[in-house]
Amino acid sequence: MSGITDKAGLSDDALVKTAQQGDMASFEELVARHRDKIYARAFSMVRKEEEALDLSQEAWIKAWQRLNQFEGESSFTTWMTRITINLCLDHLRRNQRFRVEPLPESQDDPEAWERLLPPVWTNPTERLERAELRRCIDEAMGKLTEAHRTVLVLHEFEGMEYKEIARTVGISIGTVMSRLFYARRKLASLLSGLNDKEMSP
Amino acid sequence: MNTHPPAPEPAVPDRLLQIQAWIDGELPPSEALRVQTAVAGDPSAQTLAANLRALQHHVRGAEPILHVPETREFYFSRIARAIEQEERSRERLRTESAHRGMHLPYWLRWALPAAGLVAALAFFLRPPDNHPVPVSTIAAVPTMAGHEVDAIAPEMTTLTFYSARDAATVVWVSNADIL
Repeated sequence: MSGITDKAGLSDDALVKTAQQGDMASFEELVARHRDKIYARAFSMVRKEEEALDLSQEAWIKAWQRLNQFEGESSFTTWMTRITINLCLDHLRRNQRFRVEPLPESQDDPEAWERLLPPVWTNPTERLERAELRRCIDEAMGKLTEAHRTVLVLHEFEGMEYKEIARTVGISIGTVMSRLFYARRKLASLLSGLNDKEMSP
Repeated sequence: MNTHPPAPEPAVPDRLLQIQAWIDGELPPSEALRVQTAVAGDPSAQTLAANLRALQHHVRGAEPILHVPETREFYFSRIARAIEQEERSRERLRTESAHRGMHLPYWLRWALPAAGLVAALAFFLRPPDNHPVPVSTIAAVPTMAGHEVDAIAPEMTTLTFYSARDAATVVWVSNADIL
């Protein structure tokens, strides 16, 4: 761990190059730089601190083993995040946590669908501080099923397109679209409940 | 843990999925224009689109900022230890497999087990012997037209019979004390 200070000024690209030649100190610097982001991504998917910690460390171990496969087509963090997402998906599948919940009421009436997506705040800063909003959304995300949360995380946080989500999760584009809709509907419903609470005297 | 198969979700009407795809920027330009026009003429679709847009905006800006609940050194030490163990066990496997096949040419590594298998099969599938020495020879002794050919050791009684007709030799060994 003697290389900590000398490596701090180097770019990710430079660190990756030296790590690819076996320099563990460079790899350690990369871990130190991006560990919070990787841990956050794992947590956003599995929602359990211990599991997220283990999975994030497993992702770094995999990254070291595959470092020579990284050719710089994307940023190092994007590459790392993809490894983390795949590990989390494997973990959720292994533990059979990809459960989807049926809607409680009949959805034959198209207007009923629209009522199920209640409005959230039009201007959140008027009601909640940014940090508070973040906390509320995070809490609501925790109440989604893994199947629904996964597509939402991949779409909204990772910026993945439908096609890419379908490929990553191993489902059809149609399923991605409907899961995304369900996830948003549930999230909107949870947040609007909070909104009502905020507005009540 | 859920052990039931996933419940099927009811299908979301295409119209709603189209509006969502339009908000997400997933539609090709011609399709996007068609949906945009349809939404403009439908107040309920406008409300849905506005709500989807607002939700998307809030969620995208609200990714939680988390910190690893361990020090840098401790967090990395677990990773480094696992990498080291992994590399050591790979190295051991490499060395072992190199030792196993070191003195043999590649083709022989396959030929030897195959030859062993053929030999085992040949043994078990061999045709019956024309002059078998039956396992039940001892039981058959009284019926043999044999004679004693040898007897050794004073404390032991050893009788050997040879039957020319049966082409069999039987050796009977017994402790004299017991008898």
